[in-house]
Amino acid sequence: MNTKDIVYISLFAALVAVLGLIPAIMLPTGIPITAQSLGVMLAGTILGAKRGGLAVLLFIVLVALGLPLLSGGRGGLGVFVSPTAGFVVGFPIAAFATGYLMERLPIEKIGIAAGIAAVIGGIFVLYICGIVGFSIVMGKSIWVSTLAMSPYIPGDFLKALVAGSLTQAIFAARPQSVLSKQ
Amino acid sequence: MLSLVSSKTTRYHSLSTGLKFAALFVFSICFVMSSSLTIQSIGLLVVIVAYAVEGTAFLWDGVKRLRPLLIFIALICVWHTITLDIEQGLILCLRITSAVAFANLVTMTTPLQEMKDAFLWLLQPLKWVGINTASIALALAIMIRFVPVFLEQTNNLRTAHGARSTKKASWRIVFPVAIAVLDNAEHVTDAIRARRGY
Repeated sequence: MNTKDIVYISLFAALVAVLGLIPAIMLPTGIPITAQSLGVMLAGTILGAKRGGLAVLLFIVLVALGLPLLSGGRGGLGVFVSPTAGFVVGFPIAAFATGYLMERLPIEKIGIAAGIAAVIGGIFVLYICGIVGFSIVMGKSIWVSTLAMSPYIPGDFLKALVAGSLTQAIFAARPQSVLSKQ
Repeated sequence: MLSLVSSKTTRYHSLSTGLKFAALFVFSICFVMSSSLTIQSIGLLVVIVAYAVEGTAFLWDGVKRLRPLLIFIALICVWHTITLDIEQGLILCLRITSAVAFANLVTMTTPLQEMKDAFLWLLQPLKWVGINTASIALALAIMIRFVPVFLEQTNNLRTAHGARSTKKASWRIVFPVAIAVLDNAEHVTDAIRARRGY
């Protein structure tokens, strides 16, 4: 891994952290959505599988070490035994999956490829991890856990759309920086 | 830099990070894994005493940090009242609360630098498989340095947007922030290459 990779990974980890600190947007249903999982999607669509996954893993390490970088100012070891632990552990896996798809989807339009990769990696894969984690910690069935998480899914679809259009715009502005397409 | 470490210096601050991690591991095995109401109650009592010996303010600080759990505790209460399985609900509430509270206690009493040192020590075996742990230490340092920088840039952009628009900046702010991150990445890479020689 060269210096450029280390720097991109570190700075994207910082971006994911900062996006969690931006105030949440309220959906009409009253459910708050934060930009943190948007950062996870962008890490995959812009940095690709390996660097994107490592950037989000680095972010999770800093959370575990005690920095309050998760949305709502959460952090520390307690996060990893709480009901949302599956989502936290799933963040790097979701970024990796998003990046993996972004690198391999045979779609020319960057925005569409990024949107599809974000839906599959940043929603489908992330929710599998999150729901399994929730089910284990809360002692509930997968079905009940899925039901509990379902109000957040529409907001994440909006984020996947935003991730697609942002990746397209970033590719237009800084094509050399979209490492998933190099 | 933001931190979750308690501003009050406690007796736990002087304990080694390895010992605190071992205590967390033993606590998880003894209490969290059990499905007995009595053992779960003892577990929570142990955690409350561990906080309380440092004074009421420290205990209250610990309680406040459990706030994100409230929604889940409420969910468990509602669900187990409907299913009339009150004992199982109580066990779950006690287990989640004591596990998170004990883990928070370790976080609150271990400064970031000590956590970082312990983490890098734990990574030592990676050297045997050819992974350079110095790169991981560098990545941690760069990230810690740049979170406040990007936070300030984000706040500046939001202020600038607020001065020109009546609408909230919301997700529109992400594009200029991401561009700033990518531009910074190029500059920082050049700066590090110039200093490290590669």
